[in-house]
Amino acid sequence: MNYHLRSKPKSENRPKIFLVLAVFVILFLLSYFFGAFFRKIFTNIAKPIWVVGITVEKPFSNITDYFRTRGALISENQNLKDQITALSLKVTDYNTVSTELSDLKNESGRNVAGRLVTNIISRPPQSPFDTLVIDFGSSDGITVDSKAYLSDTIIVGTVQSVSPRSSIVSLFSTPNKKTDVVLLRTGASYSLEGNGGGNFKLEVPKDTDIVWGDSFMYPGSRTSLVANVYYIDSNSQSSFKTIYLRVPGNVFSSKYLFVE
Amino acid sequence: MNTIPNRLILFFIIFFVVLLIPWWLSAIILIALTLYFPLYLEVLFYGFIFDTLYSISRFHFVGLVSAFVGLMIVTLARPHIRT
Repeated sequence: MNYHLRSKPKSENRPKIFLVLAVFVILFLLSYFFGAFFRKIFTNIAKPIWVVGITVEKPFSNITDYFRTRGALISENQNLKDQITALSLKVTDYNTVSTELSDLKNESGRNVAGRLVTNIISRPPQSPFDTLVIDFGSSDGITVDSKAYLSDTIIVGTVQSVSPRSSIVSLFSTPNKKTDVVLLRTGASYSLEGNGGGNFKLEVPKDTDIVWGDSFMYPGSRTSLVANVYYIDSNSQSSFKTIYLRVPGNVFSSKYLFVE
Repeated sequence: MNTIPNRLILFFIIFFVVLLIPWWLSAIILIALTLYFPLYLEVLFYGFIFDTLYSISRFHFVGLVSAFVGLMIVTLARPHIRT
């Protein structure tokens, strides 16, 4: 008796696979050739949504405080008052020095004014990358490589992408990103490696003159602070030590960035 | 649930959600939707949006490629899973 061979059943999945592949290729090509165009469109669509999200989130941002004990709140209140008193004195000193520096720079022809105050409309963890989206763009005078500051002296990154009404700021602390800095105390140059979340790492020989609290500045500017040392990991068996640094202040809870 | 009007409404809802919530939560929701719907092509579009809005690295297709890989795995594995 002959048994006829059954032909191999056709895969019902093949059309679906081709469809997925086709859509992927189309989106890939659109992103590659028209990335800037689509960034402009999606940013314009997303901007009002981000603004509404920030507005709606504001009343609920301190909701956990309702569940704290009275004693803990009183203690924290007193600590904060003490800090305010100490900081007020520092602000007075700072204003005096800042005015003097500004006068000196104006006399020498270097103007420190002219920074744009921008709102941060999207930040991690909404974004999986260490980037911030601000609501000023090329129409407001922002260009690629413009420097972004958290305050008068703390520089956090540079503008990497500009649309007419928004820009993307890439933080120096982006993982694996290298940033050249200068140690304020000694003037030595180093290259910090971003560790994400406002943190940096630096590996140096054990006898390198870097101590806890040292400040690293952006090259060419003795008033642009990049990070401070907060921990030094030194192993007696290794000839290197790992320096851990952090941006002073919390980049991800700040509402504003100053762009130069 | 897998009708076109439902998918369209869900598309716009998820679009708002992925813009506002942390990215890892968006990823979990998108993975769940990819597993639930037979052919959830919208996940490729969301990967495209992530890359367009947030990515500035040299290879700025991480979201799109991740969505493609995930969708392909689900599409290839689904016929072999007895339901």
